[in-house]
Amino acid sequence: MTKTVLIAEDEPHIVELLTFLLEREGYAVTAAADGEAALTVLANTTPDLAVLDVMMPKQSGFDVLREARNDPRHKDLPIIILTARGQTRDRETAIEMGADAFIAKPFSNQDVLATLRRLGA
Amino acid sequence: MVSAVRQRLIGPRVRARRTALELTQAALAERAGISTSYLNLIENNKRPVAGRLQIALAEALDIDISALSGAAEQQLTDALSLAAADPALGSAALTPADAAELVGHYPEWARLTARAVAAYREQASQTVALTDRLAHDPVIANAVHQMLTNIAAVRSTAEILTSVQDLPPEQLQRFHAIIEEQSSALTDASGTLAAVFDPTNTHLRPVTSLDVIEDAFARRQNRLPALEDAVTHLRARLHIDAEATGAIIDQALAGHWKSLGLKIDSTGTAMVPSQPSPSTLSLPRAAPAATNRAFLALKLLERVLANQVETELSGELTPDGPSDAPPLAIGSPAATDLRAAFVQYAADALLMPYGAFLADAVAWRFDIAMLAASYDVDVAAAARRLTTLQHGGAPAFAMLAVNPSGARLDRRRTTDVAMPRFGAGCALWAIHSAFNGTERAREQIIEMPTGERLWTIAIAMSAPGKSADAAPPRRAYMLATPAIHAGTFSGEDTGHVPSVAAGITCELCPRGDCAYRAAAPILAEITGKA
Repeated sequence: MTKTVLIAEDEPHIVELLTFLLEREGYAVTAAADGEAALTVLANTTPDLAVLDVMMPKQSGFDVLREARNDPRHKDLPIIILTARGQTRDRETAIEMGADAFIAKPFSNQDVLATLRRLGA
Repeated sequence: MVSAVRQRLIGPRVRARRTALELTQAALAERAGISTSYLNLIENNKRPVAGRLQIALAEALDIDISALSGAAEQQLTDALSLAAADPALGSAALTPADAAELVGHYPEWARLTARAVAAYREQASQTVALTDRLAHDPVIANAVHQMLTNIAAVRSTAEILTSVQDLPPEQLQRFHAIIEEQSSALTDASGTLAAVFDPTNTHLRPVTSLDVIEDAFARRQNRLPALEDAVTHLRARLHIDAEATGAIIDQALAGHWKSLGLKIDSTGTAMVPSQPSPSTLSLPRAAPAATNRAFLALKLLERVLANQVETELSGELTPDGPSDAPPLAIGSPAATDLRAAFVQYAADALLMPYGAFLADAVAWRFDIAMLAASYDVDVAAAARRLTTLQHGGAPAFAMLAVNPSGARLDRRRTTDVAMPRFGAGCALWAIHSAFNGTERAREQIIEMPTGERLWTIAIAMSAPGKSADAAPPRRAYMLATPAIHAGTFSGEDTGHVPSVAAGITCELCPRGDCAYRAAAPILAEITGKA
């Protein structure tokens, strides 16, 4: 069965590139341009994995992460946090809040794909 | 009191220099105006040498007073002792005696160490200022985020283009467009970032006239030898000897003023300090003699030392001068203020001759109030003069002047002590409580969060008012030097001096339990959990 990945990222080119990469690997991609849109997706569907950018308009990736962990349906959803910010602090925050992996921008495509596979998606 | 170590060193130095000049004790004694037996006692370290005697000996031996006094070596020893006492650098195994030994046996290694420590301190303070900015500047945060996102997109696209062979033409075109757009956005973001770090645009550069003056003096270690020499010559020309009292100085200055074809009006009621180069100087009869004298000295030197002051200033106006800062624009307000500060320096030098003032300052333990009273100058002048004495062997003093609101009026820094440049200063410093006290100078040991201890002396004063009716404006002055220096010059323990656990400014102080905290500490954020 095709696995679905939620990509929440406000930079359209990054979304486009990740979508291209993931679709080539056989994933289905649902994109959200900000945190609020990502929460709407999570309210209505159960993706197999989520990639959340930290700095997004309306709700941050951390906000989405927190909401997801409070939702019994997404308690075990593998979540990757993507960020371009002060890396050490964001990484610790992400792990403390229950993220499964952390990828810093600029990332390599191979890192993203390897992380996805490691998380079993 | 001069330190015991320094006293020990003067005798052999006198003897070595005298022998080098092939002078007999009798010949040197005659030149210096002392008896041969007294010189013999000096050379055997049986008599202390300070003040006027030290100057006379330096002149007779034709060497610099700091070379004679051993001030240069002492400063180096003090600098090394201070570094050893710094909890970030030193260790308990290092003792001040070792420092003196190092300076004595391996002066070049000692100088290298001192230079390295000074460079480290400079870098550390720049780092704190930059970290402050990096952590709080939204322009930088956004630009960095933007750049990393753009780079991520370009890298990802490039990887796809090199690793995927079977891209359809329209997809290929799309990826090329992404690279072009992201590269363009990257150019914008990097331009923003470059502008932020443009050297002419960072906040470490001087911003106000106060910064310009402080920086210019710091580059000269707060001493201007050319102006000192010019003033010494002028005093000699006007026959103002070291013992001259106020009335004699008044007479000499007024006489010289009139010899230039200028007039003095002593019948007026108001002083006109802003008037540039007046041909008739208005000295109100009602004003204190000292105030009029200081004003006359200032206006006189503005004329007769104009060339020397311009030469000093020209170094700041051209890029190849001693300044590493951007040159000041000729005629800019900052350049005008710096010129006035140089003239002020000369006036201070005229009323407080270097050697005598140095000797008195040491003897009176840098009591600003006593020095001001003795030289019949205001506290401000005495405080400024004290910052110039490190060349003569006194500790290097940083200085701060504030009004009752805490606004800074004047500042001098040294290699070891910098006064706060941004934000409010620490409320616990005695300079602020000085406004409540008497006109007596008060000592205070300030314990910095780094473990460094500063010996300070602070006093408030009333500046001359604009008119007789208005309340005279109040100002407070503080001098600060590392406490280890205070111990060195006084030869005494500073244990009796009240001490306070304080900081520089709230932003740079991690003391969480402070009753005066007015702003959140940045440092806790830096050193806390990353």
